[in-house]
Amino acid sequence: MNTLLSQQGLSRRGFFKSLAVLGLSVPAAHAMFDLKWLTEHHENERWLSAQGRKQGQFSLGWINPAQQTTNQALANFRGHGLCQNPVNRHQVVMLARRPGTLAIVVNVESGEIEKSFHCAPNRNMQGHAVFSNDGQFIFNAEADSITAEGKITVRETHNFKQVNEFSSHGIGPHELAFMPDGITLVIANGGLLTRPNTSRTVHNYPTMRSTLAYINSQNGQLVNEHTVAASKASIRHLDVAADGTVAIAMQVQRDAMDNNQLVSLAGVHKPGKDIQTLSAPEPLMIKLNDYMGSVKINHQHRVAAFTSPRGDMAMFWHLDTLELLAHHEFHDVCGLSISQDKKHFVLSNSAGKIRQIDASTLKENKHKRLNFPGKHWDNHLLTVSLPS
Amino acid sequence: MLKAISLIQSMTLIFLFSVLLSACGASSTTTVTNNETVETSTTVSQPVVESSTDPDTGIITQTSTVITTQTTLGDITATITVITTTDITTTITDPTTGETTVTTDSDSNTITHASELDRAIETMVDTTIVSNVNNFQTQVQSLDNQTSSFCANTTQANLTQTQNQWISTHNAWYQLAPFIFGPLEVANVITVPAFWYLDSYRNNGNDYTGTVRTNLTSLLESDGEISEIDFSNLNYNQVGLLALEVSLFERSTDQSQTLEDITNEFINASRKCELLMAYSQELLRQTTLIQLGWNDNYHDTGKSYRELLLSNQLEAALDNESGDSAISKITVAMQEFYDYLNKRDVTTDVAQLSNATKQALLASATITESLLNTSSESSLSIYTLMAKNDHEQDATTISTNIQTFVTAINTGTDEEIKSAAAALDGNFKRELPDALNVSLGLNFTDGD
Repeated sequence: MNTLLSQQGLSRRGFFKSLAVLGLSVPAAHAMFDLKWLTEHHENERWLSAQGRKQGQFSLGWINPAQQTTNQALANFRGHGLCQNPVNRHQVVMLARRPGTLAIVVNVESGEIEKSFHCAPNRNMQGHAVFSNDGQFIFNAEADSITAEGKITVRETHNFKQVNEFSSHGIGPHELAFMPDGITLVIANGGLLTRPNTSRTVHNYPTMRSTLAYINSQNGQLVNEHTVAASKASIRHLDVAADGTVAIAMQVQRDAMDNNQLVSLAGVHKPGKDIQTLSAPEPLMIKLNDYMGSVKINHQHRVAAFTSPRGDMAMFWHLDTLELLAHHEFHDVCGLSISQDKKHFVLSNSAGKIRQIDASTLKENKHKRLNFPGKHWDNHLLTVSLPS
Repeated sequence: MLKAISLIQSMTLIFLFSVLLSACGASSTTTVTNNETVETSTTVSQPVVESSTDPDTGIITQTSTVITTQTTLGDITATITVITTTDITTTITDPTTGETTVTTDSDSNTITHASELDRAIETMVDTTIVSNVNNFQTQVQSLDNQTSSFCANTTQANLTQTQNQWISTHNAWYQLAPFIFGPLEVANVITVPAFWYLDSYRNNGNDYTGTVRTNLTSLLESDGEISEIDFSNLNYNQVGLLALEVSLFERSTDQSQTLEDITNEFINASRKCELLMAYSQELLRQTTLIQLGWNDNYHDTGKSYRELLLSNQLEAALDNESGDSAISKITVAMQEFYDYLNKRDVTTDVAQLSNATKQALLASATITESLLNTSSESSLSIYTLMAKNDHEQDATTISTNIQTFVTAINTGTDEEIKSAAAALDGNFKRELPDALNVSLGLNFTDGD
């Protein structure tokens, strides 16, 4: 099939710049030759993200942390969410950023784009999808381009033809994931009514209703749904822990509010309970600027991490005590994932930088910083393990 | 021993780099001008060819990317100029017609004249930001001196002088308020940011005049020793410029603003003078800390924030530093300031007792123009750099919008002031970064 692979190592431009600072920064030279950490990453580990700032650059990019190299598969659209086939693990799907209509299926081992697929007529993508546990189906968050009603489409993964569609039971479905039972889908219905012909303009501020909807993936039936008290908070991103605890990240539509009250942008939902919002000191809350862009749970450490690109910050809460454990400032950070060995939260930003936060201490391991000049990591980061 | 190791590592690095240069096509020259040795290296990468076939139409798209990087090292100023040009040649072949079209896109925006920009940033930081940090501290010091003089000789004339000094201090704050980063916004934001203690309204647009009045009344009625009241432990919304304004511009009992009533209150209740001086000294303490951070020692690094910022060492020196560049910090701070003016009701909430809002906003406009228009012997102005990068029209637009902002302050309505501020907010989000080829980020603008 089509080969869109290009490869860029850190070393060429990195060495060039290092030479430029030679004599000014001997510690940097020391750091460059302290290569012990290279062995700390598995050869089959990859970090994936939509990449690029403009047409011609847009791609699905991936980092090989052990080799410090990046590859990319060029796409003719700006991507957003990514998901890995849990069975055919070389297969990754990148969805168009809303209100796009295209997704690409990439073989991350070979770099080939194996397939692309479009929405059905009068549908547009909302940016995220998830594979079923058996890898046979992919569930995609979409919207009716006319009514704006949220849809979950189902495609078989052997040919990516759509075989089913059901309601997301809300407006603006965004991120979705399977619950531990492998049947129930949890969906962040952001509640914001947009239409492709008006791009990302929101048409329903007064009536917006965001929900966390639990849906039976086999028949589309709504199992239950939950909301947060703040009516202008849009639930948009989520992650699920092994025990079924769901962490949610929100953004607040400040223009639709008539007051300056701070609104929590993070929450936790445990089965059978209401959503509990996560609190932080006022200065931190203000700095977030009403926007959390991504969330990931480290199951081992019971820590939920959130990123806020407007606040230039990652924040970490305990999943059970709901205590704010730490925060870390990082310019325009949004990409958030967990390393294959589960020891680190991996953060990416649009300046091509990678930082890793130790999941037990929640301190950054500075010696693990990576920098890929010219790369612009987009909102989401996905860690995958390729077949050995 | 360590030096020897460093030398070996450096030599190894040079060797590896030489290999690298030979691999991708390189040349270098050395010139000496005005006793400054300038070394220029140019590398041209091997073309990276990528192709794709649209599964629906069969159209083949092939791109060939060549990156040319030119690095100039100057040994006296140790400045580095890196000019990177990316040429992308795209060939599109239609299988049905056999027609081929070739287009070339040269990403010339990446030519940033880095050393020129670095020098301009240094000028901006020194002549605009640091000088205003120092000026604000000087004004606060003068206010503190003036309050002491007033309390030693409580006359209406001295009250007027003290009030005028408060207005000068407030104006100086509005010359600094567009630059909230670094020492003004401490790195560990779990503690309250420093600027909240100066200007509580800037926090979230809440007018804390009522809070200050209540607290002041309580302190006046208390018989506790002022010296035992730790003003450094008071909440941010009970101190700062607002607390001094409320103390100086109205009688506490009934908010009368006549000079006679206010002066008599100070005469009849010496405790109010003690409180006034305590507020003033606390503001001076806060301001001096900020000044020390900018000029001497930031976060116990032993280096000033100015030095860390300009030498791009913040990320390496601090554990919790966001890692954005100096120009990014300045641009985002300016943008946030004008966003704040647009979204909050500054004209009806700030400096109301002193009736000094408009002159404060004019001070902000002046400093904005100065930031962009100041050059020095060694650097060009930001406006000139924008023009050099073929964005002269954008420079003109920003200058015009600053003038519109000034006109709105002088003669316009509150909404016109907000509207002009919104235009400048947009300029610092788009035109300025685009013209300087500065990336403020990708993700923060999305809302997705």
